[in-house]
Amino acid sequence: MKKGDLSKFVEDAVRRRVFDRRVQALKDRVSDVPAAELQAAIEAAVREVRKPRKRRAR
Amino acid sequence: MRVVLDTNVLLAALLTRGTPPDKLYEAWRDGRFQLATCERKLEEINRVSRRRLAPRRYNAGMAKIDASRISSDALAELRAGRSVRLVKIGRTIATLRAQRARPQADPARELAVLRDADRGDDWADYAAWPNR
Repeated sequence: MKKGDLSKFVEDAVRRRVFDRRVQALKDRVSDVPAAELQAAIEAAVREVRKPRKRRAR
Repeated sequence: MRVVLDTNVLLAALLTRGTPPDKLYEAWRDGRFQLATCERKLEEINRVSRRRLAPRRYNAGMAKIDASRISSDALAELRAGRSVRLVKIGRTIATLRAQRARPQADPARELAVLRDADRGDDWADYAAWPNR
């Protein structure tokens, strides 16, 4: 193991743990919304974002 | 193995539990594959995630709602200091989606005090139900 490997390993583990905690908190916040409803809202938002933008008429 | 997930799968993985996207999230967390992405996809994720994906929530507090529209169960919840969910009137309870607030016409009517957790200052025209 090279010098600095351990600190990188710990840093990576902490970053993953922090990320997972944030994701779990996010899931908790929307846990009362049915998954199918969330999925539908996500798909609608993605469709909307991908819709080609119309140029404004002058 | 490197995997590219579509934006909707990725966002569903971060918001839902017990769904196939959630299983993918767990597999990624367990190091079973690496996620690959690009600037364009990150930009799309950014734009989609800025939109409101879940219904707005209301807690016991500030905005006001006609008490006659509040079910007795929900009133009991409010009096006990617990939050309730607001449901668009006439809409199926199972959907539990709130609509935008609008001012009440008659301030003399009995009002229950609620708070819009996101904005905190709107008068609401909702039916309220226990938040269970």
